[in-house]
Amino acid sequence: MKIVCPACGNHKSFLIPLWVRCTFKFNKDGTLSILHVRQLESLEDKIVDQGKTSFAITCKDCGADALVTLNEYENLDNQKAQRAALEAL
Amino acid sequence: MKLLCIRCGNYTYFETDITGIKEISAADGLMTIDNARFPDFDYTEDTIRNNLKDMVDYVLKEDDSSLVFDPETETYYNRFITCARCGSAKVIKPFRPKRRMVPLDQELEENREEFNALRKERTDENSLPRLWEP
Repeated sequence: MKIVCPACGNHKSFLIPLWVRCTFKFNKDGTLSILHVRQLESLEDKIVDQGKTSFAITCKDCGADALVTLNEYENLDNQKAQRAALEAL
Repeated sequence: MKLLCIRCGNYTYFETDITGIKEISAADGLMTIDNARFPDFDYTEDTIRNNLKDMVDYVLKEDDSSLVFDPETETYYNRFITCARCGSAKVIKPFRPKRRMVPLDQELEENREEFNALRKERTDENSLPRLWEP
Protein backbone atom coordinates (compact mmCIF):
# COMPACT_ATOMS: atom_id res chain seq x y z
CA MET A 1 0.00 0.00 0.00
CA LYS A 2 1.20 3.49 -0.82
CA ILE A 3 -0.07 6.89 0.28
CA VAL A 4 1.06 9.91 -1.69
CA CYS A 5 0.01 13.54 -1.78
CA PRO A 6 -0.63 14.40 -5.45
CA ALA A 7 -0.20 18.11 -4.74
CA CYS A 8 3.19 18.27 -3.03
CA GLY A 9 4.58 14.75 -3.39
CA ASN A 10 4.76 14.10 0.35
CA HIS A 11 4.69 10.37 1.10
CA LYS A 12 5.62 10.37 4.79
CA SER A 13 3.06 12.00 7.05
CA PHE A 14 -0.70 12.36 6.72
CA LEU A 15 -3.60 13.36 8.93
CA ILE A 16 -6.68 11.23 9.36
CA PRO A 17 -9.86 12.31 11.19
CA LEU A 18 -11.39 9.69 13.45
CA TRP A 19 -14.53 9.69 15.57
CA VAL A 20 -13.77 9.06 19.23
CA ARG A 21 -15.99 8.57 22.28
CA CYS A 22 -14.83 10.85 25.03
CA THR A 23 -15.69 10.26 28.69
CA PHE A 24 -15.41 13.42 30.71
CA LYS A 25 -16.38 14.95 34.02
CA PHE A 26 -17.36 18.36 35.27
CA ASN A 27 -14.98 19.65 37.92
CA LYS A 28 -16.20 21.71 40.83
CA ASP A 29 -14.71 24.86 39.34
CA GLY A 30 -16.71 24.33 36.12
CA THR A 31 -13.82 23.05 33.99
CA LEU A 32 -13.80 19.75 32.11
CA SER A 33 -11.48 16.80 32.68
CA ILE A 34 -11.13 14.02 30.14
CA LEU A 35 -11.23 10.56 31.71
CA HIS A 36 -11.05 8.27 28.69
CA VAL A 37 -10.91 8.43 24.90
CA ARG A 38 -12.02 5.45 22.86
CA GLN A 39 -11.63 5.13 19.11
CA LEU A 40 -14.90 4.40 17.31
CA GLU A 41 -13.74 3.88 13.74
CA SER A 42 -11.52 1.30 12.14
CA LEU A 43 -8.39 2.71 10.56
CA GLU A 44 -8.37 0.01 7.89
CA ASP A 45 -11.90 0.89 6.78
CA LYS A 46 -11.01 4.54 6.75
CA ILE A 47 -7.99 3.99 4.53
CA VAL A 48 -9.92 1.72 2.15
CA ASP A 49 -12.75 4.27 1.94
CA GLN A 50 -10.37 7.06 0.94
CA GLY A 51 -11.96 9.08 -1.85
CA LYS A 52 -15.48 7.84 -1.06
CA THR A 53 -16.21 9.97 1.99
CA SER A 54 -15.71 13.61 2.83
CA PHE A 55 -13.68 12.70 5.93
CA ALA A 56 -10.52 12.00 3.98
CA ILE A 57 -6.86 11.43 4.69
CA THR A 58 -5.06 14.71 4.07
CA CYS A 59 -1.44 15.69 3.63
CA LYS A 60 0.14 17.01 6.81
CA ASP A 61 2.23 19.55 4.88
CA CYS A 62 -0.21 21.07 2.39
CA GLY A 63 -3.68 19.81 3.45
CA ALA A 64 -4.59 18.29 0.08
CA ASP A 65 -6.45 14.97 -0.14
CA ALA A 66 -4.04 12.06 -0.24
CA LEU A 67 -4.02 9.39 -2.90
CA VAL A 68 -4.10 5.83 -1.55
CA THR A 69 -2.90 2.99 -3.76
CA LEU A 70 -3.81 -0.28 -2.11
CA ASN A 71 -1.82 -2.55 -4.44
CA GLU A 72 0.90 -0.64 -6.18
CA TYR A 73 2.09 -3.76 -8.04
CA GLU A 74 -1.32 -4.40 -9.58
CA ASN A 75 -0.39 -2.77 -12.90
CA LEU A 76 2.91 -4.66 -13.03
CA ASP A 77 1.08 -7.95 -12.48
CA ASN A 78 -1.34 -7.11 -15.29
CA GLN A 79 1.50 -6.30 -17.66
CA LYS A 80 3.26 -9.54 -16.75
CA ALA A 81 0.10 -11.53 -17.33
CA GLN A 82 -0.49 -9.86 -20.72
CA ARG A 83 3.11 -10.49 -21.75
CA ALA A 84 2.90 -14.13 -20.69
CA ALA A 85 -0.33 -14.53 -22.64
CA LEU A 86 1.24 -13.05 -25.77
CA GLU A 87 4.32 -15.26 -25.42
CA ALA A 88 2.12 -18.32 -25.06
CA LEU A 89 0.35 -17.42 -28.28
CA MET B 1 -24.43 21.36 38.30
CA LYS B 2 -24.54 21.91 34.54
CA LEU B 3 -26.02 18.67 33.20
CA LEU B 4 -28.13 16.03 34.91
CA CYS B 5 -29.03 12.45 34.02
CA ILE B 6 -32.70 12.15 34.98
CA ARG B 7 -32.43 8.35 35.10
CA CYS B 8 -29.67 7.89 37.69
CA GLY B 9 -29.12 11.39 39.05
CA ASN B 10 -25.50 11.62 37.89
CA TYR B 11 -24.34 15.17 37.28
CA THR B 12 -20.59 14.64 36.96
CA TYR B 13 -19.62 11.94 34.42
CA PHE B 14 -20.79 12.01 30.81
CA GLU B 15 -19.82 10.73 27.36
CA THR B 16 -19.92 12.28 23.93
CA ASP B 17 -18.73 11.49 20.40
CA ILE B 18 -16.34 13.94 18.79
CA THR B 19 -13.83 13.94 15.97
CA GLY B 20 -10.13 13.61 16.67
CA ILE B 21 -7.12 13.75 14.37
CA LYS B 22 -4.40 11.11 14.08
CA GLU B 23 -1.23 11.05 12.05
CA ILE B 24 -0.21 8.28 9.67
CA SER B 25 3.52 8.07 9.17
CA ALA B 26 5.00 5.89 6.46
CA ALA B 27 8.68 5.02 6.60
CA ASP B 28 10.76 2.01 5.55
CA GLY B 29 7.65 0.12 4.44
CA LEU B 30 6.03 0.49 7.86
CA MET B 31 2.96 2.51 8.66
CA THR B 32 2.57 3.93 12.15
CA ILE B 33 -0.38 5.73 13.72
CA ASP B 34 0.41 8.34 16.33
CA ASN B 35 -0.64 11.73 17.63
CA ALA B 36 -0.24 14.52 15.09
CA ARG B 37 2.54 16.66 16.48
CA PHE B 38 3.73 19.98 15.15
CA PRO B 39 6.84 21.72 16.49
CA ASP B 40 4.94 23.81 19.03
CA PHE B 41 1.83 21.80 19.91
CA ASP B 42 0.09 18.46 19.80
CA TYR B 43 -2.67 18.79 17.21
CA THR B 44 -4.46 15.58 18.30
CA GLU B 45 -4.78 16.62 21.94
CA ASP B 46 -5.70 20.14 20.97
CA THR B 47 -8.47 18.96 18.64
CA ILE B 48 -9.98 16.61 21.21
CA ARG B 49 -10.00 19.24 23.97
CA ASN B 50 -11.42 21.96 21.72
CA ASN B 51 -14.08 19.73 20.17
CA LEU B 52 -15.17 18.48 23.57
CA LYS B 53 -15.44 22.01 24.91
CA ASP B 54 -17.37 23.11 21.80
CA MET B 55 -19.78 20.20 22.14
CA VAL B 56 -20.48 20.82 25.83
CA ASP B 57 -20.87 24.56 25.27
CA TYR B 58 -23.26 23.90 22.39
CA VAL B 59 -25.42 21.54 24.45
CA LEU B 60 -25.49 23.97 27.38
CA LYS B 61 -26.40 26.90 25.16
CA GLU B 62 -28.73 25.26 22.64
CA ASP B 63 -30.59 23.12 25.11
CA ASP B 64 -33.78 22.83 23.05
CA SER B 65 -32.13 21.82 19.79
CA SER B 66 -29.96 19.18 21.45
CA LEU B 67 -32.99 17.39 22.92
CA VAL B 68 -35.25 15.04 20.94
CA PHE B 69 -38.71 14.11 22.16
CA ASP B 70 -39.58 10.42 21.96
CA PRO B 71 -43.41 10.11 21.79
CA GLU B 72 -43.41 6.41 22.78
CA THR B 73 -41.71 6.90 26.13
CA GLU B 74 -42.77 10.54 26.36
CA THR B 75 -39.31 11.62 27.45
CA TYR B 76 -36.57 13.80 26.05
CA TYR B 77 -33.27 12.37 24.83
CA ASN B 78 -30.04 14.21 24.37
CA ARG B 79 -28.67 13.76 20.85
CA PHE B 80 -25.05 14.40 21.76
CA ILE B 81 -24.30 13.58 25.39
CA THR B 82 -25.02 10.41 27.33
CA CYS B 83 -24.58 9.50 30.97
CA ALA B 84 -21.29 7.68 31.65
CA ARG B 85 -22.74 5.87 34.68
CA CYS B 86 -25.94 4.31 33.32
CA GLY B 87 -25.54 4.90 29.56
CA SER B 88 -28.85 6.70 29.32
CA ALA B 89 -29.35 9.58 26.89
CA LYS B 90 -31.82 11.27 29.22
CA VAL B 91 -29.35 14.03 29.94
CA ILE B 92 -30.80 17.50 30.35
CA LYS B 93 -29.91 20.83 31.84
CA PRO B 94 -31.24 20.91 35.39
CA PHE B 95 -34.28 23.08 35.89
CA ARG B 96 -33.54 26.35 37.61
CA PRO B 97 -36.28 28.78 38.61
CA LYS B 98 -35.78 32.09 36.85
CA ARG B 99 -34.12 34.78 38.90
CA ARG B 100 -36.46 37.66 39.58
CA MET B 101 -35.48 40.32 37.11
CA VAL B 102 -35.17 43.92 38.21
CA PRO B 103 -36.68 46.36 35.68
CA LEU B 104 -34.01 47.97 33.52
CA ASP B 105 -34.99 51.53 34.52
CA GLN B 106 -34.58 50.67 38.18
CA GLU B 107 -31.21 49.04 37.57
CA LEU B 108 -29.99 52.10 35.60
CA GLU B 109 -31.15 54.39 38.37
CA GLU B 110 -29.36 52.32 41.01
CA ASN B 111 -26.10 52.42 39.04
CA ARG B 112 -26.30 56.08 37.98
CA GLU B 113 -23.69 57.35 40.44
CA GLU B 114 -21.23 54.65 39.52
CA PHE B 115 -21.67 55.45 35.84
CA ASN B 116 -21.21 59.18 36.44
CA ALA B 117 -18.00 58.46 38.33
CA LEU B 118 -16.81 56.35 35.44
CA ARG B 119 -17.57 59.07 32.89
CA LYS B 120 -15.96 61.69 35.12
CA GLU B 121 -12.73 59.72 35.07
CA ARG B 122 -12.69 59.92 31.31
CA THR B 123 -13.47 63.67 31.13
CA ASP B 124 -10.95 64.52 33.86
CA GLU B 125 -8.33 62.65 31.97
CA ASN B 126 -8.57 65.24 29.17
CA SER B 127 -8.53 68.23 31.50
CA LEU B 128 -5.57 67.57 33.70
CA PRO B 129 -3.99 70.62 35.32
CA ARG B 130 -1.39 72.25 33.10
CA LEU B 131 1.92 72.11 34.91
CA TRP B 132 4.09 73.92 32.41
CA GLU B 133 3.78 75.87 29.22
CA PRO B 134 6.07 75.47 26.22
